Amino acid sequence: MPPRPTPPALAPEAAASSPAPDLARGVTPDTAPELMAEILRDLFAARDSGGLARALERLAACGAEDGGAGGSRPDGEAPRRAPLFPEAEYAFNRLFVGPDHVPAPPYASVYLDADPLLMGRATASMRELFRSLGLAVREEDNLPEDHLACELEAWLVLRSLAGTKDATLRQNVEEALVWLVDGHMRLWIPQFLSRARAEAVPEALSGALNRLEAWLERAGSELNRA
Amino acid sequence: MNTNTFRCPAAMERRGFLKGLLAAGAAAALPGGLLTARNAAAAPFDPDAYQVFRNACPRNCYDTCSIKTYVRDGVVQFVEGAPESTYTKGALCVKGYSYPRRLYSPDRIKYPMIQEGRGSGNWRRLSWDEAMDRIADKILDLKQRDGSLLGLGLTKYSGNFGITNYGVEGMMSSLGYTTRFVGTPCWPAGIDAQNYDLGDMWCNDPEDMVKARYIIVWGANPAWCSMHSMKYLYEARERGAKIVVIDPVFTQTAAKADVYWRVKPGTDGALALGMARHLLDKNLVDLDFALNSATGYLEFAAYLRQNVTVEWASEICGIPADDIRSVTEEFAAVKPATVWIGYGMQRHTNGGAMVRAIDAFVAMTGNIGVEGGGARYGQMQTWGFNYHAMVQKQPEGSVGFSGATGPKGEFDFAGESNTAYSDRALNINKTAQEILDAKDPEVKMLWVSCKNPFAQDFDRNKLEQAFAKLEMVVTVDQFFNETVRHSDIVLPVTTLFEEWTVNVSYWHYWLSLNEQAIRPMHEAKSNIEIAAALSRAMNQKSPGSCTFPQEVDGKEWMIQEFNKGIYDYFGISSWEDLRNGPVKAKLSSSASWNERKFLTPSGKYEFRSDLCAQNGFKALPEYVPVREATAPFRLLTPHVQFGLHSQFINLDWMENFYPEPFVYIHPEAAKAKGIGDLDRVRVSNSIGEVTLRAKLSTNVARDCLVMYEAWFRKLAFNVQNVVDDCAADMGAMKTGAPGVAIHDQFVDIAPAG
Repeated sequence: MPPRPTPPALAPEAAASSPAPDLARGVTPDTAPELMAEILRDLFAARDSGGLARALERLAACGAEDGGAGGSRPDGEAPRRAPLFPEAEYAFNRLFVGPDHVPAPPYASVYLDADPLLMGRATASMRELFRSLGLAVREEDNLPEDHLACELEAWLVLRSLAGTKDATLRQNVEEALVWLVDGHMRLWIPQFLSRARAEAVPEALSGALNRLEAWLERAGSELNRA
Repeated sequence: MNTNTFRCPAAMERRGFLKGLLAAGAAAALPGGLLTARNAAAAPFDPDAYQVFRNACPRNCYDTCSIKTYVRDGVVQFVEGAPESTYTKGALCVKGYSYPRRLYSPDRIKYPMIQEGRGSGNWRRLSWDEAMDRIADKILDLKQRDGSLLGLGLTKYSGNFGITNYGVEGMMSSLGYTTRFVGTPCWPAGIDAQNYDLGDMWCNDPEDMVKARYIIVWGANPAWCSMHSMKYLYEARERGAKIVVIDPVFTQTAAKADVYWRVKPGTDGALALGMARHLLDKNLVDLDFALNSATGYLEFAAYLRQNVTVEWASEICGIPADDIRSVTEEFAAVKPATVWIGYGMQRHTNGGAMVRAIDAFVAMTGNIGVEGGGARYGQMQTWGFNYHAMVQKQPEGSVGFSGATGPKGEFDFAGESNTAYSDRALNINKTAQEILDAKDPEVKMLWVSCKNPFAQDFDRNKLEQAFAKLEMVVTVDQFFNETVRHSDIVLPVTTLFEEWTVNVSYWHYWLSLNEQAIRPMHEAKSNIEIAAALSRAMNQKSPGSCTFPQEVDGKEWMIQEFNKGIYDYFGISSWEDLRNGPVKAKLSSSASWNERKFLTPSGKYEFRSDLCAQNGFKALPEYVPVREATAPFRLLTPHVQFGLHSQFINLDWMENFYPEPFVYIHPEAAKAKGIGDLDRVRVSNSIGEVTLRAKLSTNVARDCLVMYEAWFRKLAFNVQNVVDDCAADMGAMKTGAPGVAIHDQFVDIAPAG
């Protein structure tokens, strides 16, 4: 597999002065869940300012394409345009990365295992799923398999297989999707969102959290639970 | 603790689809995604199979436990004490058992990061290359501005004693001559004292305490700080030994003793001299040892007769004279008898003198060089590695410090060199003042590794000022702490499970291999890998500016630390023998100095040490009064049970057991101050203050307060707010700087209002 293309780096200084997109709007029914999963995956897997900025810009573009109709702020206020960088990056790291105590770690095992640690049973479940697909997390990323970005990718992979003409395989893929969304992601992502929202979250990121929540709901609604 | 146990709906737990998915063959990885095709050659996963790895606790602890680590599918499942070591004997302490939680904590530092505005909390991720570029740029900038790298300082101590981690010192040498913070806040006064008396610090095998018929634990709390040693105390007692604990605090060790003496802090020397005088009075001195294996005995006896009485000692130290007499007689009546001299006891302005007085008491009873006897303090007999990672050559043409130099700490194994320049040595126990005072050039950049200065260095408020002077601070650590908060760049470092190294103790005589059990989490690198990465950046920008190899193989570097001396001492033919478990040194006797060949100038035990006199102290182990009080209460800040300095207390288990610190105060003292149990109080002195809750306890004396040294991630608590950098007497000879009078601190206390 060719290396993942590195998005062009966006210097924080330049980003700070650029007009910030409106990120308060959520995903609309018109935004393909595959596209949203990919953008959210890239957001949470971002390794630097450039990757983070690019993912947030793509999120904002989704909102623009949707005509701004889909999302809404819980308080009902009109969407505001918040400065994107560097505050969004600082906040992203404060919430999800570190180096200080991480209030909302984006790893399933922290929420699903008896012990709030990494590499627990939830991680093993995801690893097993990847293995059954013949896949593994890329060495250079070195993320636990139950990192939010990896789970979003697992969903993308399964969705890409869902159209297969092999009926047996299709059934297994559909069952896998039901497990992944109902039996796994919907058990921990709401807790993750609550923990993140309990902190001071800048608008740029609260929009992303809203979109993740909406995506999860939609992914659940599209499951074939038969 | 998270109470949400992972519970899938029953149908989902079966996950029969997994098998079905296998039929599809490898799925196509998504372009731009995180996944790749899994290596089909990988071994099939067997959920019941564990791989077992050998590890060693690298923390600054007497016990240096040998660990067996159980790994399944690349994940550490649990750890246990290695049963092969009769010292570790299959058990770890609460800290050791928590290691998997340290490894897999979601709070671990995961990536290189830069803080934009020191203390702001505004952190951005950096790639390793970018981090090293920034650091290399700064180092080269200093070199250009100053004409040397003395503006670059290293502060490192005991956060990781794995031998390859001396590569941090090696990295600094490979850059040039730099500024080193030398000495030790731990045990230096006692090291020098034992060197004056015996010629080295060399303790008996702690396992031979079972042979002792009388044991005095003097200023140590092994129930908390060396729990594996407790079994030897218990067994000795089973065999009939009496155990006496001397400590200003009624510790858990004291609670297990037959006799507990609450000595007034800093008066242990007077007590030991009183006991020595009583030996004289009762003709209990082992004259064969005192006259034939020692020098200066008669002079010391004359000093005792002229200056010391039991009553005098009693008045100073607070122990009743009759008790002093009876314990002294009991100690002398049996053989072997031993004293375990704790490190807390020597953290005073007269600490070295006090250790010498205790040594003298043990020597007079003829218990030096005796199995089950001895004045036990520590040993470095087992540390004869190559220090391959540490010994690196400065780049050609490096300019450094010209002037007198000395050892860079007790673990300085580099030896003397005949170069025109050296590193600049600054006193680690006065880090703040030294940074503020350093000139020509000023210290402008600090590299922090295996250490948390804001938790351990003294006079925290002064340290804030000192750090404000620095242009760049780079900290290498596993967890965020106060020093990381005061840093510009933080680099994630591996845990014991993620690197190869080898470990020994400064107390027991076991050697343990530390195997890399798993791939490092996140982007953590070992200290030598960090050094190699810096070397790549330095040489790319300025060829020849760093001699550290640009690629390292952790396992190969671990192997390079071994030599024939180590193999012979431990009776192994290869490091690979250690894969079967730790090994113990092949000792001809469990007693140190069993041949009575001392390493002093005279070759004998020296009651009178001219070397000590040359270094500005008394030749005899005479009484030296302790630092005078400057406030109503003496403050003691000993080690805590659930952590080691700032390590471990941030883990969830520890937070459950030990969520907040307290200041312990005697009920009568509290009443006089209008303080009730669990009241919020302010502990203060001229350099700072601490606000916390008080616990009333008769475990402390009326004129003492106790606050255990610890770091709580959620609290501003720091004992160093009220601990100044007053020096202990001894330590400079062997460690490069005197110790620090950690327990000669004085404070007042009042309700916080």
